[in-house]
Amino acid sequence: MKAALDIKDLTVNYGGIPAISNISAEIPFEQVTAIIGPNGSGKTTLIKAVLELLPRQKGIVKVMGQPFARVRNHVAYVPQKEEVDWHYPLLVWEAVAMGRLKPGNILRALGSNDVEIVEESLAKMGLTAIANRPIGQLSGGQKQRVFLARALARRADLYLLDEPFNGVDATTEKIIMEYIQALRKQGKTIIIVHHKLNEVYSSFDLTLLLNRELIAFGPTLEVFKNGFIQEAYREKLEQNSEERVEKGEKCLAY
Amino acid sequence: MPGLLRILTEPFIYYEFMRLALITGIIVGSICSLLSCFLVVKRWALLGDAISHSVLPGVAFSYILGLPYFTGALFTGLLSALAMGYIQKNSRIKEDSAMGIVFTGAFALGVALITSIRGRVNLYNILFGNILTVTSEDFLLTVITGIMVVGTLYFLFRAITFWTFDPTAAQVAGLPVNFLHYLMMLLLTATIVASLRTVGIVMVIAMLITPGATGFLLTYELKKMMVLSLVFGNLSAITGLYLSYYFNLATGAVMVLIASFFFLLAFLFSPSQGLFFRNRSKV
Repeated sequence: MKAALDIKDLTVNYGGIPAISNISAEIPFEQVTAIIGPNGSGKTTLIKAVLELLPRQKGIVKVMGQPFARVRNHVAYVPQKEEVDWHYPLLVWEAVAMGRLKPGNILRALGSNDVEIVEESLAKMGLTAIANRPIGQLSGGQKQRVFLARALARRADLYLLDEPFNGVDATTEKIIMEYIQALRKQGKTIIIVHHKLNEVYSSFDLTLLLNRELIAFGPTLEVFKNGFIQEAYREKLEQNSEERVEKGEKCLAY
Repeated sequence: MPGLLRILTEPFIYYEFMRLALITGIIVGSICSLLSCFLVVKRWALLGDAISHSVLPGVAFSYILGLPYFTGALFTGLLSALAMGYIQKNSRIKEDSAMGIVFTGAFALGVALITSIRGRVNLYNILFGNILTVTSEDFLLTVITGIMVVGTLYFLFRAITFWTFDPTAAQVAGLPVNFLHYLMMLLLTATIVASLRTVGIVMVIAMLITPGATGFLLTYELKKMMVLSLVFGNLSAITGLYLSYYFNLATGAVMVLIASFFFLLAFLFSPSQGLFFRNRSKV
C-alpha cells in the first residue's frame, strides 16, 4: 500500500539557507504521527513544503501517492492559531463553515448538507453553545477548537495539525486528544507538529524527530527509548522546560 | 418644513450638474465603503494610499498622449501595485518600504509632469477632487466600476472572506488566492480612478479606510460591518455635497471631515468597543 505521505530527499531553503535538508520518510495511513523537534528545527517548514506553500529546493513529495494539488480536497490543514488575526469580524460558525469551501463550490452558497456538517463539527468540538460568538472573544483553547472544527468540516482523509497543543487549556487538550483518537478510529491519517516534550506522546503511534535533518523516525516508544531525543534537543532541553513554565503562565493569563 | 425641503431639493432642481454630482457621489461613496471593509480587515490601507498616489502620473501621461484620463490612471495605478509586489519578492525590502518607494516615486513623477504642462491640468482638482466637474463620461466610468465591485463581492464573498481571514488555509484548500489578490488590486485601482473627480486621489484614501473602520468598531460581523460602512460612507458623501454647495467648501475635504467625525463618534461611543463604555465597564 502507498504511504499517506511519501517524502523523498526533501530540501527546503529559507532565505538562501537550508531550513530542512535531505528528509526522507514514508508516513503510513491510519496512524497518528508526531513531527517533533526543538524550536527552529524546520517542523512547520516541512509541513508547508508538503502543502506546496513553500518552494522545494530538491526532492519529491507524494501525498496519498499523488502530487498534493490533486488530492487537496482530501487534506485538512490546521495552521498555528497565531497565523491569523482573530480580531477579524467573524462569528464562530462562519469560521468553521470556511472548511466547506472548495475550488468547486466557490460561487455557490452553503447547501443544507454543508450546514449539517458544520453543525456537527461545532458539536464535536464543544462549540455549539458559542457558535454565534465573535471569534475575537474566544480563549486560546476555544480558538484552537474553531480551527479543528473547521478542519473536521472538510471531511478529509489526511489531517495535518501544526502545534495544536500550543497555548491551550487542559479541557481543550483533552478534547484535542479525543478528536485525534476518534479520527484514527475512523481510519483517518493524522500528522501532528509538536515541540513540547510532555505526556501526550504516549498516544502517538509514530514519531518523526527532526532537527533540520531527520534524526529518527519510527514507533514512538523506540524513538524515545534510544536517546534520540537528547540528540535532537541537546542543550535545548533545559531551555524548553523554562518555556513551558512561561507558556503555562500565559494560559492562566487568558 | 418647506424651508428644509427647499434646502434639500434646491441644488438639484436648478442645476443639472448637481444631479449628476449627487448620483456619482452616492455610487463613489458606496463602492469605497464596501471596499474599505476589506482594506481594513486585510490591512491594505497603505496599499490604497500607495495606488492612489501612483495614479497621478497616469493622468498626466493621458493628457500628453491625448487619451481619456482614466486609461493612463488605471495603467500606472496597476503598474505600481505590481511593482511593489515585484520589489518585495525579489529583494530583502519589506512590503511597507516597497510601497513607500514606489508611490512617492510615481507621485513625484506625476507632479513633475503636471507642472511641465502647467495650466492645462488642474493639479488641485486631481488631488482634492471637484465633484462639480463630473461629466457623464465619469458617471459611466463610476457605474461600470460599481457593477464590477458589487458583482465581485456578491459572487465571491465567501472566497474573499476566507482568503482575507486565513490566506494560508485558503491556499491549501485550493482557492485561487493569486487571482483574488490581483482582482482586489484591480477593483481598488478602478475605484480610486472612478473617485478621482469626486473626492480626488488624496481624499479617496479616507473614503477607502474610514467608513470601514467605523463599521469595524460597531460590530463583530463582516456583513453588518459592510452595511454600517455603506451608511456612514453615503451619509458623508451626501452631507458633504450639501455643505460644500451651501458654504462653498471643497467637496472631498468636507466628505472626509464628516466621515472622520462618524469615526470619532464610534471610537468614543461604540456600545461594544467604545472608549467611553469600555472605561466605565472596567470600573
